This record gives sequence, structure tokens and C-alpha cells, in this order.
Amino acid sequence: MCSSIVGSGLGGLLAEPVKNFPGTFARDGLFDHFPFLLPNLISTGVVLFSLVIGFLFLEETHEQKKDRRDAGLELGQWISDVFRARSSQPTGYSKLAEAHLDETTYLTHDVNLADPEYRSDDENSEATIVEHDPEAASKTPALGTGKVFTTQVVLNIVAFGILA
Amino acid sequence: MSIFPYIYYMIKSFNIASTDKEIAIYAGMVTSAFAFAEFSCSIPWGKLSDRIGRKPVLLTGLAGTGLSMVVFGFAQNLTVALIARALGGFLNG
Repeated sequence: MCSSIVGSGLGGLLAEPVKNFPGTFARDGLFDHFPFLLPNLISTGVVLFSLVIGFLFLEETHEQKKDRRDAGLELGQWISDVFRARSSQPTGYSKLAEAHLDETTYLTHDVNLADPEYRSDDENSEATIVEHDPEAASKTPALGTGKVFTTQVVLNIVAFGILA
Repeated sequence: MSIFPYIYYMIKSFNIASTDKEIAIYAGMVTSAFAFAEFSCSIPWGKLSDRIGRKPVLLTGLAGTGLSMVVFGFAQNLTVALIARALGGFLNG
């Protein structure tokens, strides 16, 4: 719906620029031979801009393809790291000394957890607890109307408003 | 949708229609070409995105839309304008 506001406004403003803005656009120039080129060029510019941003920062939402190595996303991460002037290591954490690791790494060293002997007979084992999560997730309370307009949603609306 | 304000004048500048009624018919054709092409292609695009992922399909859709807009801007006759709009609809995803 926003698209009809900004999109058509932009289209109407920029169509036939030689006729509407004779001072700015020369006669017999490119825009005289193609009077309807200017609004399309501006729209194409917006589309190309969003293409670049999408290539660099858009995350894959498809569940099975999510873990695929994404060159564009890595490039975008590198660019944002450059602008934030921060190293890519997480802050506040330092590596544990070697001695502390020995306790936990050797605890399950010789044990194969897939053996039938080690499988739990208890009904309240870890495996069943995980299944409760989707049920709990579906019962999350509905958001109020005000909270629906996150930054992402607003940006999407603005982009559609300019594009279409 | 951004072509709505000037599509009438564009068809008029092609000098193919003699009456206002004919101009309106051609303008309707150009406008609906986009919607019809998009309607016929959106489900295959969805299936493709299930196979190759959302991001490639979204980005090719954007690129195709941009290309179709440039071709539409350079259109000097009805055929090219129709093709450009249909192309935009096909590639919009």
C-alpha cells in the first residue's frame, strides 16, 4: 500500500523530464529521446542498492540450506567489522588453562554413548525433554500491535513503498 | 505500480492508437502483463527456492526486476514495453 504512495509519486514526478523541468534537462539529450527513462532509472538504482545490501547482509532462512557457506554474508561481516573497528574475537572470554580441560575431556573418553547399555530407561531422560520445547514455543503470547513494527518490518515497508 | 501515472502518456507517445479508448486498452494490457506474468511464475519460483534456498532466488528476482525496469525505460514501441513488463513479472519471483 505504501508503494502506491511513494512509487507512483516518484514515477509521476520524474516522467517526461524535458517537458516538466526544461531548465535542468537539455533538449535532444538522452532524456529527450527516451522521455520515460528517468523514473525507471531511479527505480533501478534503488533495486540495485537493495541487491547489494541483500547480497552482503541477508541471511538464509531455509532450514536445510542455512548452514551453507555464504560468501556474500562473510563479505558483509568483514565490512561491518571494518566499520566497527573491533576484532572478530568475542570479548571477555579467554582460553582456559590446559589443566582444567583434562577433567572433562577424559570423563567420556572410553565410553560409547550409543551402546544399548548406556541408554537411559528413565522416561524423564534428556531426549523427551527436548520434545516439550516446540509445544512451549507455540504457546508464546501474541504480540501487541505496537510491538509488531520492529526495525526489520519497518525497513521492509519503506523498501516496498519506494520500489513498487 | 510506479508506472501508473505516466503509462497513458507513454502509450500516447508510441503513436499507435488513434483514440483515447485504444490508448486505454493498450495501457491496461501493459499493466496487466506484469501481474499475469507474476501470477503464472510465482509458484515455480517458490519451488525453486525450496531447492536452492531463499537468498539466491530473492537476489535473482531483484536483479531481474532491475533489468526489466531499464528495458522498459528504453522502450520506444508497444512490443518492447509489453515484453519488458512481462519479463519483470516473470523475474520478480
